Amino acid sequence: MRADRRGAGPDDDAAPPFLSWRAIYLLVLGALAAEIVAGIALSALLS
Amino acid sequence: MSAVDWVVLLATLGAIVGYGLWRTRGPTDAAEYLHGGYRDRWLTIGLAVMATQASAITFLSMPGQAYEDGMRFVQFYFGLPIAMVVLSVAFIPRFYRLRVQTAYELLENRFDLKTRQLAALLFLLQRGLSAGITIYAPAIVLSRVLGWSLNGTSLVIGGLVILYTVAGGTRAVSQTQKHQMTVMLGGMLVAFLVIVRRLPPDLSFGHAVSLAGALGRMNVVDLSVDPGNRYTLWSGLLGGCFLAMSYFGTDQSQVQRYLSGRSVAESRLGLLFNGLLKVPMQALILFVGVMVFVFYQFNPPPLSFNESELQRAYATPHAAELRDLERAHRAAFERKRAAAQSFSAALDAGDPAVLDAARSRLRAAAADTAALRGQARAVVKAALPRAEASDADYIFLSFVMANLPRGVIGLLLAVILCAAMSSTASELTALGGCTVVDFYRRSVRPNAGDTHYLRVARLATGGWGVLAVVFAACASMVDNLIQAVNILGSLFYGTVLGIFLAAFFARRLRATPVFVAAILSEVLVIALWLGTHIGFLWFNLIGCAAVLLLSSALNASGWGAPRPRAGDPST
Repeated sequence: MRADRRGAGPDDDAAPPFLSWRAIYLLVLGALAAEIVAGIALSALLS
Repeated sequence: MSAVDWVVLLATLGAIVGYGLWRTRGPTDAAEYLHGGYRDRWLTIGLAVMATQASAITFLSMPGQAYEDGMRFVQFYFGLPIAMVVLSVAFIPRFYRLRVQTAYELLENRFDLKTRQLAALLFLLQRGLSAGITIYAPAIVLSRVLGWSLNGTSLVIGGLVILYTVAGGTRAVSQTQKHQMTVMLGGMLVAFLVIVRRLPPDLSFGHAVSLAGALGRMNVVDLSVDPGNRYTLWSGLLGGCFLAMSYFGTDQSQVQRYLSGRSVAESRLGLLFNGLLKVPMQALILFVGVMVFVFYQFNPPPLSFNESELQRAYATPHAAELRDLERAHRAAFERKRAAAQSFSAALDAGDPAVLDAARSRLRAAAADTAALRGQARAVVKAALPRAEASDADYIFLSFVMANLPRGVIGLLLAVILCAAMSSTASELTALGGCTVVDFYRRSVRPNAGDTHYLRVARLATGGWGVLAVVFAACASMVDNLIQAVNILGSLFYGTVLGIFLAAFFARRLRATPVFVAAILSEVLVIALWLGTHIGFLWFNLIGCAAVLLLSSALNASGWGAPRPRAGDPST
């Protein structure tokens, strides 16, 4: 039942298809930071 | 509902389920059934992860929540992108390295069987109950608003899901979720555009947003530090991060989605795709609710959006009271509409003093109508003691049925049913998989053939489906459905996350201290929930911290350490 995953091991197939992992993580966290700042600004301007 | 709506609804659901069954016919072994042959790409994983979390409750409850309470619920999701990064770095490579089929299998490798099965049991308990609510929630709202039978609706939702999950397993779930998620996102976008077009022609979009802000509905971020306040930036970032780490890192219904990836990179990208899109998607759904709120500043809303309950209350001796309230509510609405029009005109005029005065009048008029709605709720409750206290879950569907054009109504009902089916399907395959892998194969029949495990996996998945439908038929309504599911999750997730963090990052901790600490922490969380008013998001943090602290203390005291044997050099 325990099927093997095809292809290389976990360390060999962990490379991102674009950019680097660090850049992708920064992109995700940067988008969150921008959303929070926009939320604070909207709350302050429209309350 | 018109014939066009029925055609749109049935064609959408039929096409998705039919395509999923056709693409994934006949898994031949248990691993293929439980993990789809490890073939999924990141986009499929990302959409499946999002579709699993986005239940029908999301689309029914959240616009109503925004209508009543504004945008602040979006803060609940602020911790999620951070959790996706942590899981990508710390969890996914470990799951892949040990080639586990369920998240809990990893715990036996690190600790022992009892710790693995405790975490798996907490999952089965929590997720088994949630699966019932996931079916029940849309069934009760659809049955009340559309006049469908409650148990019949539960049976149709549950039956369709059982059909394709039992037949096609994880791959059928992922393939259907990809299309269900596309329908959900597309449907909500269409709803948003149609609602904005239904606003008064002389009200610009900017003025609509300003009006919502003046009435407290654009409260996106709350910086207060009150622990009793459920949704603040801090509870969202901290509690939300722990909840998302627990849910995506230790709940098999999510772990199964990304472990079906063809590589670490595909699984990571799938989770990060979710981290990037989740907050904007939830903000869009909440904003739809805010626009519905603006719509009802210019168009008369019903006294209660749960009209079937209101009609039942009219059949009691409280009818005269309700008629008086209806009249007062209508008059208060007319005053509020005039105040909203004055506010819009003041925005155009640009005089700060005039604008302040118009804002004050608008707020006073809104407070009057809100008070009358509150009185109506109290009268309905007095007339029907078992009635629901809140009508928030009915606001969006009631609006859709009364105000949206033909075709769009069918599309939005398809969105709600797609959401119900996608999250239920993930729950059932995960419950079935966990039952087989963590209990049946591990402790009941460890050495059976693959065909046997495939048959048992199908039976377990179908069995959990039947249980969920039965539970949905027996469940009773709670105030707010989305909060009920999240509270239920928060009671268990912190403890399970604590066990996983101990496994990953505390190498000296032994199995028995972690096992005992997990049981004590669960008791503590439930006691706090019953005995205090702490916001439920904090339970994720408290449960997790309690496991780590208690297990460290027990470990240091020597609890569960192997007894030295006579003759050992150290004795």
